[in-house]
Amino acid sequence: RMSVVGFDFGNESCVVAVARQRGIDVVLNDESKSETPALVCFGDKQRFLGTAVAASSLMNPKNTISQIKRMIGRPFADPELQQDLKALPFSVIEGPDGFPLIRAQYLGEVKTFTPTQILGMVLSNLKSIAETNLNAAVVDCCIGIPVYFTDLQRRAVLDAARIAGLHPLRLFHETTATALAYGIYKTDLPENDQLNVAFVDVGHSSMQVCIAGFKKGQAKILSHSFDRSLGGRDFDEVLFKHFAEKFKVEYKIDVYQNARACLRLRAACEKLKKVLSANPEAPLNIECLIDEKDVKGFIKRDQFEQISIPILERVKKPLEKALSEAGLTIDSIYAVEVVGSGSRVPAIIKILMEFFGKEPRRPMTASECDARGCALECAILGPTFKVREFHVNESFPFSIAFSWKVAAPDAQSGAAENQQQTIVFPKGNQIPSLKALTFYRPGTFSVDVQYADVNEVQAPAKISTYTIGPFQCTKSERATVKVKVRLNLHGIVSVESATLLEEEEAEVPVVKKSASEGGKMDTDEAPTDVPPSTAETDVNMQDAKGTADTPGDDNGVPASGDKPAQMETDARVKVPKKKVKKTNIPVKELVHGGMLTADLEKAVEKEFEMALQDRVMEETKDTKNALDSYVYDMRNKVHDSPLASKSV
Amino acid sequence: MSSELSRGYDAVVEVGLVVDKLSEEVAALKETVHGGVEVDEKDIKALTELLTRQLVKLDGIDAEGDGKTQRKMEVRHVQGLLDTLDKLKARNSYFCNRKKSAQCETSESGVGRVHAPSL
Repeated sequence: RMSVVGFDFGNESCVVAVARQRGIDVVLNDESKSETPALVCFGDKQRFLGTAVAASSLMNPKNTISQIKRMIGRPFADPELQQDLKALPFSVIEGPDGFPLIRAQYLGEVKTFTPTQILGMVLSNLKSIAETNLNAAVVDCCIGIPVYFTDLQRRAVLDAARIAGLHPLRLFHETTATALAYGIYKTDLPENDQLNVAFVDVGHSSMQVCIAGFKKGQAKILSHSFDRSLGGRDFDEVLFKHFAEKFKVEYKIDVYQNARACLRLRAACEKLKKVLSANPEAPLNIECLIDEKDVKGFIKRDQFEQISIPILERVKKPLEKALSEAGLTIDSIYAVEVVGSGSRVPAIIKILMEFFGKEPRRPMTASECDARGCALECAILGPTFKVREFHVNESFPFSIAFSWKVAAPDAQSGAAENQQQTIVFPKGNQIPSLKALTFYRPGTFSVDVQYADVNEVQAPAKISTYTIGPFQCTKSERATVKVKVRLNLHGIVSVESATLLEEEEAEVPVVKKSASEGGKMDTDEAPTDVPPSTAETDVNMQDAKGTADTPGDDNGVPASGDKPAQMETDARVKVPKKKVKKTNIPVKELVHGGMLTADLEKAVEKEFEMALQDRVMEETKDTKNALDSYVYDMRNKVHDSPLASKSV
Repeated sequence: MSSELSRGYDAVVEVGLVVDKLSEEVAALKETVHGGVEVDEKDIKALTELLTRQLVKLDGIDAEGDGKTQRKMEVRHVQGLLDTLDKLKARNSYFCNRKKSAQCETSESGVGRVHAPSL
């Protein structure tokens, strides 16, 4: 039987939801809680995962790995990662590939692990929670990811899932999952008038906004926006700095000089923030903070909001962006839903209210929406359940471009090759999507997949490189190569296949001159009502401007191909349809910073070994407990027996 | 039950019981180290961590009157223990370093806990 499970993996904690005949259930872990810590602890004899770590984490901080979501798929030099690493108690070094490696003492030796491996462990813990609950094997699932995850981060999550023995049917944007969980239960959606709902997720360390338009049986994602490092923890930091400054002046103590004092003040500020969520003012008292000095502080909510202005200002930006990219005005927003741990801060609610002019609603199950939405999506995609007809039209948050080398137009000047770039999946492109590019090349060539706007993603521009070839072109100088490019359900772009197209009759192309300028390409967008999985778009990358005019000059300027309107103006002679022979061309993929298949297989094996070791240790413990109770039992029996009394 | 005058008292006492248990372990470690025997640094760290947790727990108790007085006493107690552990750690790593530099093998002969009189 296929499993229908949704996983929400957070930076701090994770939630598991499963689909049952009667609906979606959030699964409780062995501590009867819905939230399981996203922690892995390495011990001398075994690993501890999730709830089992909480008990030992403070005992063994250097070997307790946390906050893996912030680390996954990011280069070591990433400034945000560097900032995060400062606050982490375990050791992270730069690996030979420029990506982080986590060092921990395991089985009495210092070992290194990739963030992908650690996420694999977190996921395998979630998997076993689901399996215990369902009493069945879990393989198929749907995993929630932030909308801002890069191609590489998405691939890393898939690799981690593979390590955990999971098969994600989809990596689902968290806010979209929330939108799905909202819409599918809303029975009063109108047939024609679209209800626009803004979903705001303020988490521990990041914020995401999604605006979706709902109609009966469907949701269309209109826009996504985010701030990768704005969340509840920033408010704690503001309070911390405020009091640290205050105490420096009032008590002449510097908490920054004393790690323990910092820790105590930080804990006190977190508590203070919670008190301020429900009260107009809150006190702060810490005894003997430094040098036997008792410190006293006090803050009113409006004062807290005053010092939080820089953060609150930042909250507005993603809101504005989401609204403008959705092409909507405030008046056309029907409702605002707010989720995430940071949504408890009244100042954030206030900002949302001011911005949208209406009270945001915090769903009862705010922390569970993502997991629920993921389980619903898994149910929709899988064969196990028949789900109420509801279609989500997802939109992709980044612009993806393809680039390739072309010879400089004037080959005589000896100029180097030029790079030509064209956007294949523009921002807002629906997910999934399949497009076909046509290249005219004499032999093996390569294409780079990259972000069109690096500022959007804060990641290296280049995602992957595909080498297409070798192939033989017998009939003409250049072969016609049709390259299929897929933006898949996970939001990952890849070249799916390349086909050599050869016309059976040896006829020279009739198109003498094409009107389109260099760099431009023609896309025939599929009609929007076509189901997304079959939506295919043709993009033509014809080689030279006027192929026949400058034979042998590989300047690869895309020109118009089969777009009917231009065919009429360019080609005087109509070409009769010829029989086309199709041959597959090998495609070699290189994902920059990606995990090699061989390494992934090794990681899968390693995880298996570690899981086995854990099981052996758990079983030994069980056996030992059984033995202990046996000994105890026997002792009682012996003491109670007449023989024992005789010997006394 | 708990009036305004002794708010938080019971909660503080509860943490105090945990601290007392931990303080026994601190005393045992102190005895060992002062007896000139090296201990596993992990034991010191673990105790430090556990005591810090109690400290944060104490900070989080809403206390008034007697409760507050009791809390202050308990905070002092924990901080004293933490200071002791900090000193033990320094002393222990001094052993460690000396041993490494002198290549001496005292640890082989001195395995286990030797209860030498404390200094």
